[in-house]
Amino acid sequence: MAPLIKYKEVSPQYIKSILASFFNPAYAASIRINDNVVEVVWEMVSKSKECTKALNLVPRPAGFIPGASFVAMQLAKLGQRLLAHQDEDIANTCKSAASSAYSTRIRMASHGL
Amino acid sequence: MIKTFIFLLLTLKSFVIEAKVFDCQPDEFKNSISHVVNQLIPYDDCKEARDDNGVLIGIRISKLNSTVSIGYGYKKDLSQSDLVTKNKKLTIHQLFDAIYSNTETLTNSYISSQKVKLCDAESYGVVNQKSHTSYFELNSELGAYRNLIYRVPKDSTDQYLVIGSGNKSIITHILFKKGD
Repeated sequence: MAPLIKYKEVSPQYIKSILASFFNPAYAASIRINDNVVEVVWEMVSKSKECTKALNLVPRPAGFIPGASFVAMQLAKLGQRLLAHQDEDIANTCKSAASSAYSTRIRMASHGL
Repeated sequence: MIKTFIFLLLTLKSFVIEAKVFDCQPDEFKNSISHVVNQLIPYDDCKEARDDNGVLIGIRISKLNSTVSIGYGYKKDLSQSDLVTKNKKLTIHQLFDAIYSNTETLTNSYISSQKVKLCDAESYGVVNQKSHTSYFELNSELGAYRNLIYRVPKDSTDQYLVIGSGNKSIITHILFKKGD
């Protein structure tokens, strides 16, 4: 598995738990987590207003570009919740962000594209 | 000594695993969409990624600031519950139709959530739909791509192509002029 350099503050396990919940466990297992994968997963999650609301993300001013620590922290929070099976509501709410286009984009990012 | 050997082995293995991106292979893209794009607008760069078994994962074509991504998707990548409606198990093509067609009545929670998302898009739904191919213009804030083509190859039961780009001109050329 390629190491996380930019997003080292989030465990790959949490990213995998997000992928398993949004797509399926076999798909999650086939993805190698790297910085590009984290960025696409973050894009997928953060584009869902419902999901960011459910996660209680701190309101951000327009044009705010989140730093790597912020992204890592938010995805770790989501992954942790999903891994602990504590928040099925959050999983269902956030799943609307998933799409087959994202599953192929994440797979391509996993392989370096 | 043994630890050093194992470390070296793992290091070498990681190099092998990470060496996944290549320049597009001429033989491969002779009949592919990247070749079509190159005929229309000669591109600056074309990279492809392969898995450990050499199977093509996807292609990325770049021309100045425009990129076209061509990804191979599989039915097994989707949550299986997303493919089930009240009365039937959907094929990939039926799933895409159910999400993007305004007249299709098959539904489940995944399909309805995708429809809600599309309703917020600037331009909703299928702009053009040919046999096994659908083209959408989406709001980039809501989807993975602004312009998106789903193509289910004939006779394919589980594989589909996702062709995405922010560049409408390139993608409509692919679809309407050379994309069949």
